Amino acid sequence: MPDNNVVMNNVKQFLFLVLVIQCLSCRKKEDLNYVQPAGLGGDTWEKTAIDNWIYDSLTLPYNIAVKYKWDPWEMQQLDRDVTPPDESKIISALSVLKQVWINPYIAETGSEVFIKQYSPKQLILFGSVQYDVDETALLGRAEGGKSITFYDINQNYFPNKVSSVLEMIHAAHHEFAHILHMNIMYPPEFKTVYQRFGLDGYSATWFNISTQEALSNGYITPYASSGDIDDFAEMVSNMLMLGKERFDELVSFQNSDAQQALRTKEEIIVQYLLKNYKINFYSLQNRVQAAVRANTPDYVLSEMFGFEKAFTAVSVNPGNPSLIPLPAAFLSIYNLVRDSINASSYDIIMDSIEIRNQAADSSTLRIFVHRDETLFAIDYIFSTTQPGSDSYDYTFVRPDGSGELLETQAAPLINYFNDHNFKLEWYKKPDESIVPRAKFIPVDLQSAFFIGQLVE
Amino acid sequence: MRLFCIMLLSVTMILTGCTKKTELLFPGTADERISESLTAYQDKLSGAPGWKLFVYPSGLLSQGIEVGGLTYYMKFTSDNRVTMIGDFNQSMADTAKESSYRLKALQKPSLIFDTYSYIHVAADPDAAISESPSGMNGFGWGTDFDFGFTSATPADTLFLEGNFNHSMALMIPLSQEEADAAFSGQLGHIVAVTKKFNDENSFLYFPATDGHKIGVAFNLTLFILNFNHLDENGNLVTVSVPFSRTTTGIHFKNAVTVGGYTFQDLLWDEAQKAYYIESGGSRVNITDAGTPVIPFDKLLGSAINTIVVPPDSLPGQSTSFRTAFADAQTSLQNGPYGLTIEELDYTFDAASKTMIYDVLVSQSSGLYLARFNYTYEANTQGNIKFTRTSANGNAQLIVEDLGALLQHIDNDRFHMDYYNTPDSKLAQFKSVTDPGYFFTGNY
Repeated sequence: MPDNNVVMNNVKQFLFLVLVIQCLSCRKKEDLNYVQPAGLGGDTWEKTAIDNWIYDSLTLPYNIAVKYKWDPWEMQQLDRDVTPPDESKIISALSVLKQVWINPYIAETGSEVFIKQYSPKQLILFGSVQYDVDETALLGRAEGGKSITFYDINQNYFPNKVSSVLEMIHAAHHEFAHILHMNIMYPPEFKTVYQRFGLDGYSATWFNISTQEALSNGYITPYASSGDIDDFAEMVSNMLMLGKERFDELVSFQNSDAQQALRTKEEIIVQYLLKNYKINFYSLQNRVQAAVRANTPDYVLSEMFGFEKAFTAVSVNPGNPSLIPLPAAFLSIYNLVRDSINASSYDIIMDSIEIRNQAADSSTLRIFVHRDETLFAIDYIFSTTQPGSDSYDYTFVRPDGSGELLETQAAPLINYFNDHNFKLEWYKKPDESIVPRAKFIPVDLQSAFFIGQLVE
Repeated sequence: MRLFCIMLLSVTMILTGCTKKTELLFPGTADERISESLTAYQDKLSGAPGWKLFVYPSGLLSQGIEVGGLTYYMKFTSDNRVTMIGDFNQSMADTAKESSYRLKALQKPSLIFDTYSYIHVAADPDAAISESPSGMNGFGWGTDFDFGFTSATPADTLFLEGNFNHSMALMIPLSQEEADAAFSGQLGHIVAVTKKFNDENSFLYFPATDGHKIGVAFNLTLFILNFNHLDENGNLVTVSVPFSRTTTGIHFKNAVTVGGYTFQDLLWDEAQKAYYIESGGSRVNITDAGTPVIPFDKLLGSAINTIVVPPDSLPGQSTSFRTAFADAQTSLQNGPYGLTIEELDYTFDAASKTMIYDVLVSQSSGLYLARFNYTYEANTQGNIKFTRTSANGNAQLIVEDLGALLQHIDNDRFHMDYYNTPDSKLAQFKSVTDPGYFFTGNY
């Protein structure tokens, strides 16, 4: 009979061994050679020059990824007809974006840390815009500070390079402004600025409001009137897009309550950026404007003014001397005509004149007059030749319609246009003023030039 | 004994505890199979000298617009690049464009043209770019550039379905010669000669096996071909087929049987500068009949709907019509609204035997519509009499001004027919009641 204890010890040792083996036996080596789910870790493709540019210029320095290849699921683009970007447009668009958005912030904060910390981590590019059912076009979109989507990279919606760049600034700075206030909220008084000046409050039906209506209530755009966070983002982006000169001009055209509201919001934004992010807004604004100028073609007057061009006419109204300052030599001619028309038997008051390109070889001198509430146009037709792209030679042909009745009174102006050759130059380019103006200079009587506002 | 049992149990557990095995229903896991499928498609695409892709857009069907087909000739590389030409317009057929593509496992193995190229133009939501038949922004031609293969394993012909508009598509591999021909100008040549052939021949037809004429009418705007003929009862039969162009000519979405022949292509004969059909070993030429193949009255209200009379005179208009028009014009211009006639439209519907007579008038910048509604009936000679049923408010205001222009329509019986000149194909209204009164319009 063996000693029970010895037996028990052997049994215990055996059981312990079994336990150890059992435990070890669970260290199974799995066959990990399973094929991974297709597409795990994202799609891959042979890298091209575009991919390398993106990696070197955005991903490596700022941790920003760019999705440009069609991928409707990740891009959340499933329910509307939209196209991917053309490869030839991608680098130029991103390069502009970098210059008008990232570089100014880096320069202003003095390091890349700011952009690395706050920039959205993904940019999504589409070639076309997205049309909604009512054919309104979507040009940009942001996803909770993580991603910004840019449409119209192919520039079909905005074939004009300038508009295209401006729209990109607008979208980038608008969405980035959202990211900034999500990190540090702007002061609460921003939300109630409209109350202080007795203006209309925010409205969910902002899309029914015209730009002018929005401005007259102290909102920079109709979208700004949709709520305070978009008011903030629209103010920041539009001030950067317009530049100080043109923003000030835009404000000055509004009623005094709207002016004060816009100025108050501007001041809150300037202080907010300085206090929370140590950013000098006006300096940032100048940097953005410099980048816009560097990336847009110069404005050429002869390409913008003329028959079937963006502007077909100039309007001259001496009643607004700060907008249209005119020399005495021209005013004496203008006033002579105005006084004799006002003194005519027709009981009318002369308001302004317009020079209109009616055809490639014909222009009209149109005198606007009014009687009570009714406006009349008095026309004189000139044939036009252009000895150079920026010079005009007008020859009087005949009065048109009621022009005949006032031909004597209008004679000094008719002669002024008939007798001189004019050289045209910019007075204020569209990037200097929201009211672009041109200067018409009689070649042989330069002191009698006039300035006209370019109109469609 | 108890100990022995415990030991035995333990040993059994050690020996059996680890033999796990999962039986797969299909060979390989789902991921293995989709990867294999993608690899097989990749090899197939980059292995051939090139491919022709036929797409039949279906995204506008919900708007009631049927469009024909689009052909793209493509060369794929194994590193995600694709070079293509297409028959959508002349420049796309002439000059190749390179872009990127990739294969991706979505719900089906998918072929995605992932940066912009010719295949995206017809899909561009900007109607000015895509020349969308819908006329609206946001739709293009209702076509696709992101497709799922309908089969997991590639066959010789690849069938695809658009992932967005669900357009039906198929891809056929090219021989080296066909790829070379397509990319060295043959597709552009076919696009050009097809247009020229259609422009220069007004009354295309081919003889059916029983000798009667089958009219052939190209719609080069929507890429649809109509075969017209009269059945034994003299009723118009139209067979419409979506087509696109290839290096050999016109290719239909499906084979069609018309006039006793079954065929899927119209082939271009470079020597004769003409299209022909090859069916069952016989060759049938498509030629110009010189005169209309189908009598006018058979087409009026079905294939010919609207006849438009512009203000300027056309051949085949009588002096008394021009006088009536000029009188109406003067009367309207001097009237209280200062109107100008821009266009007279006569829109026929054979099914309801109705005719809408629209007088488009302008006032400074605005355009207004004066509408008179008629029913019509033809006598045994086929001559038509209109009966006015109603008129809209604008129409009632200018009834007096229209004078003889309206009175003839109200009172006369008209013989309607083609009026063909070497330069234009027109439709003519010829009054039987007053033989000196006749006029023409475009249809």
